[in-house]
Amino acid sequence: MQNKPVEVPSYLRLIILVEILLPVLLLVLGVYHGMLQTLYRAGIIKSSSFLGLDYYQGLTLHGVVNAIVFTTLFAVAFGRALVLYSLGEPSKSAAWISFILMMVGTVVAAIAMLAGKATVLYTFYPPLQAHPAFYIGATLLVVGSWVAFFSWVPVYLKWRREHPGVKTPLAIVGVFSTFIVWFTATVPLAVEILFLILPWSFGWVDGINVTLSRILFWFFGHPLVYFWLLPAYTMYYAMLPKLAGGKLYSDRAGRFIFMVFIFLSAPLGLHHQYSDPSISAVWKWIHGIFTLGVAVPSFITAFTIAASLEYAAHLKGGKGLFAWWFKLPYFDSKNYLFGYFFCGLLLFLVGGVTGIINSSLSMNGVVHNTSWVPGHFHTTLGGPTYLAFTGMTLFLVTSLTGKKLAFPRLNVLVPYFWLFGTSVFCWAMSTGGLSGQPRRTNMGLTYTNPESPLYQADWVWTAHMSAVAGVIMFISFAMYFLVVIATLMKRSTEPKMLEFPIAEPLHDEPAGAFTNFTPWLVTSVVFLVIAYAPPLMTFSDGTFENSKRFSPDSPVPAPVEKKP
Amino acid sequence: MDRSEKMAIWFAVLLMLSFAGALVYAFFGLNIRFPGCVTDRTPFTKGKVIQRGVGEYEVQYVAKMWAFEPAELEIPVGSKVDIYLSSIDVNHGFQIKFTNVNLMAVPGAVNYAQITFDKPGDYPLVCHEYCGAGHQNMMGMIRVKPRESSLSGAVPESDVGIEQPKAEGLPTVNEAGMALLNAKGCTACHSLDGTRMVGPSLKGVFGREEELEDGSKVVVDEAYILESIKNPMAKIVKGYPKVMVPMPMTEQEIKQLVEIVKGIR
Repeated sequence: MQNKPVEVPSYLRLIILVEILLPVLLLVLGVYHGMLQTLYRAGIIKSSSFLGLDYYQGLTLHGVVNAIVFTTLFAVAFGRALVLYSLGEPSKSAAWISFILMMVGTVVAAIAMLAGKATVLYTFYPPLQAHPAFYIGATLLVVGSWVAFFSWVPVYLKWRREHPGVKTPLAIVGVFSTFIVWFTATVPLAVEILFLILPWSFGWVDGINVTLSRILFWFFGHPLVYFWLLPAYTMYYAMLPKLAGGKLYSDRAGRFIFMVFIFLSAPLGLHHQYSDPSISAVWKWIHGIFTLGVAVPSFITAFTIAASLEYAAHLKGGKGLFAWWFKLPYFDSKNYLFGYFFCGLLLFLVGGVTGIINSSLSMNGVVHNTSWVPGHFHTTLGGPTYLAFTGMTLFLVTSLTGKKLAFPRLNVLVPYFWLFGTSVFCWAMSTGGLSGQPRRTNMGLTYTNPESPLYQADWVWTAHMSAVAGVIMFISFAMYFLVVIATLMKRSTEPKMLEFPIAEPLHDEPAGAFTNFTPWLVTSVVFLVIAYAPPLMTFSDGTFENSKRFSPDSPVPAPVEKKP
Repeated sequence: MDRSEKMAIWFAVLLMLSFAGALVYAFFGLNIRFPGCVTDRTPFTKGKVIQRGVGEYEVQYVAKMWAFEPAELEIPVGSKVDIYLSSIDVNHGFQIKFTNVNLMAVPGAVNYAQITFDKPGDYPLVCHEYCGAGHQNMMGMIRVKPRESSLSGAVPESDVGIEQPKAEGLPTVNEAGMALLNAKGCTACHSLDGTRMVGPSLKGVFGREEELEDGSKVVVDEAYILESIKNPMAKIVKGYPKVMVPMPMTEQEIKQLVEIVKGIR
């Protein structure tokens, strides 16, 4: 395993820095509106807008910025850094093309949202219609990420030819499985946008097949969550054991779980649609069972990472069944990544369990579209993903700029604040959800407003608790943002070298069946055909192609603009 | 792969298999069902209540921006209700609070659930899918009455449909007027029969005195109706949300609408 500092070419340094810092800047908007939503929902703000930003417009920004822009840009930048570090330099022109596509896409979509022309939330379910710029921006972002990924493939193949018999670095297995999952996810998204939504939003066709668009969206939407998770998993397997002072307990477990995600992360999107009409119960069953299957690699991860931490703690003299937990570097300000990763793991324990509950066909009636769901995914996307990505952003910024981290002792507390705030948030939202509180709703105008005839008194206290949590989470982000800005304002004093803390394996076995991606790619295609071909064939026959365009502001279909 | 790791993997696999078994048991043993594909109903555009027998109802719910139709349902305790659900515009959610009835309303499709109301009380019906600016106002109500309360007259004994919204109040608007009110989306939020929906009812609105948000009073005259159509945010009646937007229409249509609204008694 290579563990040498690498110099990053200056063009790539610039690209990576912009790709990780622009999302942090956009997160200011995304996290700010996250907190505002908790205030609206609690009835502390009883209005449809605040400081010029409408509730649902802000909710769209919150979703698109935090869940799509931040994650995609970071994952690509992280991939660029790891590919360069472990394999070699990919094509320079591809790097620029992908960078420019993603930047243009982000800016175009952001303008559409900020102008209030795309208040359709990040799921943009037709027949709610956004300005075409919103869809075009999203497409450019996705296509840009594809260009980056495809430029890494020849580098990997070359490395494989030059290193026969050597195992692919685990971090690279992680990066490639991340982007294979991303590609699997974004093909149906591209089909939905290019063939269904764009012609319809431009007014070239009259109606849209709503059910088909929903199925295509969730065909994208579920592998998407593993795209969020897998870079964090890559860091947990490849780096966390080293940060803890030990070794990765099992190298093979890591390779196994990444390959499982390649073929099991996509054929289960219908579990988002258990409550949908006109999808046969048989396909809901199949996707439900697959969903239980995809929980297995996460259980293995829980075991392997805990075992790696225990090994590290034992090296430091940790003993007993539980006492070793006290030997880990929770508050070591030089080793801040440990805290970021560890807090994310704790949140993901909750996220994993609530995720299994969500997968349940019989539990769905209790939790579907209630605030339980955001309670769940703020401990996955808002847990390991957010913390690993923001922590790694700091690591990359300091490595690539040669600047020392500012406020290290404040920084080491950031993940713990986030852990606390998010735990309270998850608990409050879940509890509210179990009593029927809807998600994505400006409840302060009606349900939590005592003056409204729609007032629901039993929803108020949980909404207030989540507002408290929202403020704590915002404070944690504000602390983080301060650290980033203060770091950037420092002078470069260190060499601008990149060296990832890559862990050695403790049990180092041959990779065996998990050496190459090909068998798992084939398995993936087989699973996708089984899971999606029949339901998609049912809905592409044109039965439902009759939905007009609707603006979020009016119950009357939007008029078709007459073209001269 | 060492022994404890193998055990962890087997534990995970067996646990998931037992969960799968629990799902099968919940479906067949406990009869906890989820929506499948409805093939015996075509998408409908009007809400409808059909009494099939004593304590047996079929309700065809229409979800639309931003109300359910029927907005209110009154049934005796112990009623078994077959719920059919469709949407006439965008996607909507449909959850009956205090129950596990939790459906999506998708345009062009019909959803289904069955529920028996064993306890009397008011069951709010909440839209839980974002459906535009008025989403947070989209609530209906199911009132389950104790058996002793008099329901005679409210529910016909025989198998007849009650069309909703109720037809009273309508005669003052002719067919062309109704068509315009529907086409411009007015009836999505304003009832003609006095029922409170997203916005104030239009029944007898002309000449009525309304209290505004700031506490001031205004008498609804032609100028006020005209202004409320052209610039809905200018004067909001107290207690109603600020969600109405100007609809695209010609001056001619606006004049007609003012006349129609004046005539709704």
